[in-house]
Amino acid sequence: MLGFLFLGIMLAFSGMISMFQLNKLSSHTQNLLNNSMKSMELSKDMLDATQEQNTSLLHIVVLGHNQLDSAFTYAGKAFERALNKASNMSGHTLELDLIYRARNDYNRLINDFFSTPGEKDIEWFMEMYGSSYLALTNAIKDYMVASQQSMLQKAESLERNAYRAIMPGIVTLCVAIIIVIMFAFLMDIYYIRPIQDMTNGLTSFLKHKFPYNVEVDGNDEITKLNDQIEELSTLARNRMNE
Amino acid sequence: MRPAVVFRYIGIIMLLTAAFMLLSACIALWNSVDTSFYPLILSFVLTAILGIFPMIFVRRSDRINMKEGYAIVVGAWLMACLVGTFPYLLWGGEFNWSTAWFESVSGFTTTGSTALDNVEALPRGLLFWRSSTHWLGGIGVVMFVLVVMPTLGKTKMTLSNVELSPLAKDNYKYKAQKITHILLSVYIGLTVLETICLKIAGMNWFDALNHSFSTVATGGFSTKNASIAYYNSAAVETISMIFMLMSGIHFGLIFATLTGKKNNIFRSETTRYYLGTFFVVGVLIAISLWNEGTYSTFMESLRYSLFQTAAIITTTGFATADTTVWSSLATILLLFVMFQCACAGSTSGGIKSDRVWLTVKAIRARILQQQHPSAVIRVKLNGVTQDDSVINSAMLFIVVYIMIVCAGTIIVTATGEDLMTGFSLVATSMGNVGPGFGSVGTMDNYSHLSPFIKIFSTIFMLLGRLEIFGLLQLFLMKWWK
Repeated sequence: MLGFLFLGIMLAFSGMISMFQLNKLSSHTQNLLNNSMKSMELSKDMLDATQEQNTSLLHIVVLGHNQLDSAFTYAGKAFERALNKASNMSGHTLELDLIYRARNDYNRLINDFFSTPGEKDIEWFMEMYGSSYLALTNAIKDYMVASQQSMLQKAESLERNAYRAIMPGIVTLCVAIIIVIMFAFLMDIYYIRPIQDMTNGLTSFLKHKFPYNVEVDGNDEITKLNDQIEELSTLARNRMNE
Repeated sequence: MRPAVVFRYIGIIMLLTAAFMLLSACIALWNSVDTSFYPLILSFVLTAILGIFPMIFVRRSDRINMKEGYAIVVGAWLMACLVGTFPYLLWGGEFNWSTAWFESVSGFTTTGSTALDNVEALPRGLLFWRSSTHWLGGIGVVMFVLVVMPTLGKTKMTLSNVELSPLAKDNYKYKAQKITHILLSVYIGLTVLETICLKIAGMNWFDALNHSFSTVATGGFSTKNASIAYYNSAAVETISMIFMLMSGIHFGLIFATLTGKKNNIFRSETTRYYLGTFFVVGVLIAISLWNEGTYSTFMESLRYSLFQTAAIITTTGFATADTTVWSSLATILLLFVMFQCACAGSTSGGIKSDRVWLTVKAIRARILQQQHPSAVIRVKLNGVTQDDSVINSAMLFIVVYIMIVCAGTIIVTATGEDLMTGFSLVATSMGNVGPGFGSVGTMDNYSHLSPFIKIFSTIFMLLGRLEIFGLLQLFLMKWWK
């Protein structure tokens, strides 16, 4: 009884540990997926905006389409919004700093371009602007990679948490199975078999008047019951003989 | 065979194991409740329940027969190894099912091989539990309980007969009841003494105690990834070496020597042979290393060769040097002592020096018999004439031992491991040594091996610890009738 009580408490305790860890795991997984999705979306927005600005600027430089200025400005604002959102999310400060630095260089170059219209040609676009554009897009890609790498690290930590969540339950369950098998075995030896032997002995006595001679080893209620049945059968046989 | 009685005695051993889990939990608690505290407490409760449960039902039995004795000893080893995995599994980290089982069997059988890449990442509570498995396994879980549970009465005799190596029993000149007390006195005495010596040599108390547990049990688990090499201290190495060598001597003889008895270490033929083998092999390896230019001076070569020889011949398995880069002569000599190992009646594993020396004497007697066919030639060991049955069983043991190592090597190499790794892995597991050669050398670990090989090598550890026939008996169905 005591053993089962302990086992019950342990199972409940293990269950609580598992529940706690699984809850933690569930919220962590949700956060992880949300963060990953957000960082992917923001990176995409930044890359799209930069691409948009790049195309607009190419048109302005090569074809002199000044009406594309508004599209350029709109894409620039979209970029700033995405970058601000990324800054508000926790982590990757190093990669975001790199984006800020690359963006500042890029903006400085663009401002220079618009302040001196007509001076910059395709050569400037390919060399000066091209390298700045490449630095900016590379910084955004680095941010994306860093986000995915941190995802991997977090996933490993989640795996460990998942392990910790299920292991107490599994170990306790294994112990419970061993105890249940042992309990069934011991019950069979100490209670079921003696009762079966006593029943068979009594049946033989009642049907065929064979002497009741069942041996039960021990010092418990079953042994006492067996002794009393033996006494009773002896008494009954004596009465029958009289 | 009464399985219920077997359960009861295994239950007592579970309680002892649980007590050490509780002690480890206390270490974790003392160490600012480190991460191993809850796994150890949960393991303690589960193991204690497993231990108490059969005791509630099964009454004490004053008489147990030989079969029950075997079943208790083998069952106790297997169950101790099983519950020993609980703290590892519950803690997590590098542990999975195969790693936890490997680490537990390696601990209880005092093999000392590890499947962990970073031992230093373990919290103190778990490190202490790891060393405790060595200490418990070293003396034999059953032998402990015989002393702790004085109520066993006549049962004590039967279990002692089963647990002690047959050769070890011959050397004891005491009654069976006293054997257990002698073993425990020497065991605890050596542990305490070594802990103090290592502390004086510069280790902290925790490391000193853990390394003492490992040394006296001839195990090999260390609290550092680089084992004893981490300390780079001649004093620590010398102390460890002396205690390793002492732990490889028959405990009864140590007791007899300390109490001024006649049958002491200096008169023991097998001890002289064991120590002689150690010195000869150690010096030969030193000469070989010096000659090959592995180390710059002869003294440096001697320092590393003597330590590694002691670590392998006593089956401790500590490391101060990378033996995989040593010469072929050094490798073959270390492989020889890996098979032979130390004396019967100690905590070491392997074939044992007694059997090897007895076989050498039997071969000499056989040659003499051929020269003088009518002569009556007796084989004596420590001044006692040995029966043919003792000589035959010693020889049979050696033959079966080598056959098992060969069979194991075939299977391990079949999985893709190279010959040296496969052969030394099986030999080192059978001898409960620890490090081997190839990819399982003194400076490597078993983490890179497949789960199959890890589990497979634990079979050899158990076979070696239970002197082959003990474990085989359990699986022979005819024997159960």
